[in-house]
Amino acid sequence: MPTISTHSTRQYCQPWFYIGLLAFIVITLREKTSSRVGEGKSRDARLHRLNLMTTLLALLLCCHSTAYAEEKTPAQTSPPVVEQKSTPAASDKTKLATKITDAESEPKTQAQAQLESSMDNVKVIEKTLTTLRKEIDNSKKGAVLNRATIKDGLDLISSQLKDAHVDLEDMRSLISTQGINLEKLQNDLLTLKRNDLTALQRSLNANAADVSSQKFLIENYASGGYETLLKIAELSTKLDKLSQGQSVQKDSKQNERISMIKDLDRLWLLLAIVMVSFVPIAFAIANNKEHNKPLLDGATAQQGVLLVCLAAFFGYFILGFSFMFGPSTGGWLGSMGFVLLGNATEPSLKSTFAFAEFLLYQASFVLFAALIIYTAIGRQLSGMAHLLLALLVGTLLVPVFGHWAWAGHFITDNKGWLEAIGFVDAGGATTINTLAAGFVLAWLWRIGKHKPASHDPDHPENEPVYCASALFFLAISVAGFTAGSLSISSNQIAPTLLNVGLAASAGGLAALLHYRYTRVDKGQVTRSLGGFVTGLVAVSATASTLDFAEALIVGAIAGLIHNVTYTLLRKSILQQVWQVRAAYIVAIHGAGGIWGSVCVALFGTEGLFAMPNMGQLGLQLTGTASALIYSVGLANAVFFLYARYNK
Amino acid sequence: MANSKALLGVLALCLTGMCSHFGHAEETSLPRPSLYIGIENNRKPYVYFDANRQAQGFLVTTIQSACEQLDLKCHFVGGRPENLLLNLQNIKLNAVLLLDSALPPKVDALKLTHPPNIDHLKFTKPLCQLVPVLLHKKQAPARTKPEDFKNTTIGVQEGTVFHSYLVAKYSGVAHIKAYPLLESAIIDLVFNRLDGVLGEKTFFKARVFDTLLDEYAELTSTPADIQDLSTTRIVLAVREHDTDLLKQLNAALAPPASTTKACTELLASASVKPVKSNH
Repeated sequence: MPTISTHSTRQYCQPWFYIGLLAFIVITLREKTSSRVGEGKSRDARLHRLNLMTTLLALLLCCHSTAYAEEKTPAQTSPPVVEQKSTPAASDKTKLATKITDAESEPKTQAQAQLESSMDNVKVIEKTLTTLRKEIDNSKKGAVLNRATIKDGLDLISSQLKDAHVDLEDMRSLISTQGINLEKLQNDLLTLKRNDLTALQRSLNANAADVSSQKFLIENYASGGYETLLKIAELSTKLDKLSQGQSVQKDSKQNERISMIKDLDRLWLLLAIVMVSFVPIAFAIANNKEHNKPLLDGATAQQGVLLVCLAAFFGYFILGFSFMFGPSTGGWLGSMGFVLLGNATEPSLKSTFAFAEFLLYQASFVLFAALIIYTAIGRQLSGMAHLLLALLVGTLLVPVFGHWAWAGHFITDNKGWLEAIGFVDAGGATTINTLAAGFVLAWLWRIGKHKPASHDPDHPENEPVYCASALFFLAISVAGFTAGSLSISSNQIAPTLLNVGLAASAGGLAALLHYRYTRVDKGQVTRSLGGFVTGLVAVSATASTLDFAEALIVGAIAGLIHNVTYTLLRKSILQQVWQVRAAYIVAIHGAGGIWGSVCVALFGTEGLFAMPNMGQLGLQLTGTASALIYSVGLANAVFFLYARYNK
Repeated sequence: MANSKALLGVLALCLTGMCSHFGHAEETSLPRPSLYIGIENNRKPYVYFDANRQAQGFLVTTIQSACEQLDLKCHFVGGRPENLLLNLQNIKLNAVLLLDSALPPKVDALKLTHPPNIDHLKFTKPLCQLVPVLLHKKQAPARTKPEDFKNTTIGVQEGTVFHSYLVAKYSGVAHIKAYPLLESAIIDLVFNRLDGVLGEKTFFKARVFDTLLDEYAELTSTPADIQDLSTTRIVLAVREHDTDLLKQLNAALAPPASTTKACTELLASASVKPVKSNH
């Protein structure tokens, strides 16, 4: 069955319409039947009235139901609570709620009244139909079929009336329930307005006040934070300025100190130049005995020293320094015009030392090498030949290898290939001594092969190359070589000088003792002096890095090496009498230089007798081998030219 | 009963007489009328309240000198601009100082005019003119056009005309971050959380460049040539019916036939004196 809440009014109207229509049809049929059978007029009139009444009732109910449904439907579907909640002010809310209450209660009352009226009408219909049923039962004569038809129709009407009644009852109870709910809801809303809304408003106000005060506090904190930032900035800036002031003072003092140290370094270098300048004196004294035996062209040995020094120095200044310290070409050779073109004195050149001072200092190394060669070869060449040879030493022999090993000493970034791979030679053990010894050895070996053996009483076996007086000057010179390039602020100068002295002493003593306990002749002093110089040569490579005990070891072993090497040389390569001096020189400078270079790896590591640096040892041997190959090769080349010239 | 009524009558007469007497005495003890002026709570260096709740700032000094000139006793009341204007319309205040707030009716971003048109209010001649300036780090790249600010974050004081301008012109390219206090924006700028801060030159002069913060944080400023903000000025708002007060304030605040000073000039010329607050 349709219900009001879910069906349209048209559907709701249908039963009553059908009832009226059915009643109308039944009565009409009855009239026709009566007219055909000719029944009495009084009964027709009664039936006609009943027909009209039933039709009217059905239409009335139909219209009433339509009106009721139209009134009821919007009230049920609209949500009044929502509308009330959106009311802005409390007073307005109350008024509006009252209006809503009135508006809602009026149709509800009307609906209830109309429903009650409808129920009364239904009861009337039932009563009428009951009467009609009785009348039909009484008038059953003559119209059996029509009576059955009418009875069926009346049963249908009765059934539908009952259903309609049940529906109406349901609807009324539903309306009643909804009304109760509505009243309850309305009461709740009114209660909310009067009590809870006030509390809610107070709570909101309190919350708003809290939020406001918290916002005020946050702003205060932000403001305080900014003031703190300003104070931090002020303190920081003041601190920076104070620090800068101190820094300026500190920088000024530092600059003064650096300037003073530089001046002292220059002074020390100048002093070292003086010290290394004793090399020619030492060799002049060493060659003093030779004055009675002139060179091949008649010049005395001391004059020869002078010639060698002049030629070597000149050659070194003209080309040698440029080859050695000029801008490197692949780490093999310096620029030729470095000195002559004035590039060496450029202010923009970031050189470690002043040009003139450094050249003077380095020139002494070259003189040292040239004089070693001169002393070793001696009377085998003329003065002019020695001069040319010294020129060669000053321009080519020392500068080329010197570039490989020392180029970075003048301009830090301008390194030769040996220096670049890590080869170390501080005081010229390899660059000067080994190089010169290698050259001498090759040269004299070549001469010895071509010269017949002779007994020369002027070359006694036990005559030292360096006499005692020469040896002192040589010691001073080596001290200059080893410590001259050190900075005065490094506190290494004195230990280096001490190491030089210790090594030399140990070398001399070791050679003396070795020879004393292995031989019985008078050569012990000669060995001792040779051992002393060998100790000097050996320690020159590592003097600044050795501990004192290590210096003693280096020197002592150097002394022993000197003795052994001399013996070996005399027995194998340099056997002739006139080669005694050369054998001593090769033993001193060659063997001593090689040992000194090896000592860089063996003793150069930080710490007393620390583990040797095997990698460095390889580099040192590479450097030494390079020096020997280069010097021997050059000596052979020069000797070849010399031999061709003599022919 | 009749006696009681007579006694009450006498008592009433006495009370009336006393009241009139005290009222007259009070009149004689207040030589100057009071003027209540609304100002913002914390807008250094323009206006602010110190720890003793005394109004400070160069604009307070300027207004105070005008009050003395008009023989008025000025009381400064703190609050938010919108509330102050409401209090002005509700006759709780006599005047309100309008700094740079973008007040209702909502300012058209493309035609930023300050002060805005507000019903039933009138404004004095300008106290000084605001100069927009962008504060940024020294090492920051030079930015002049809106596209230069792509993917940057600009700080600004919330609710000001500068804020409205940035939202209107720069919100498409840059991230706009509004702060209740511009000092908070500067803190963020110092700690590299912002690329720039748009504000008024006087504020930056007093709060950044007159301190050591600019050296500490390596800050500098670039004038922001914003035509839309060229008419932004600081004024006093009064009710439209207070025409006498408006005339008096105009006469006292602005010298005749003179151009409006920049606020930085006013800051330099004003001497700060503490003024008792009624906040």
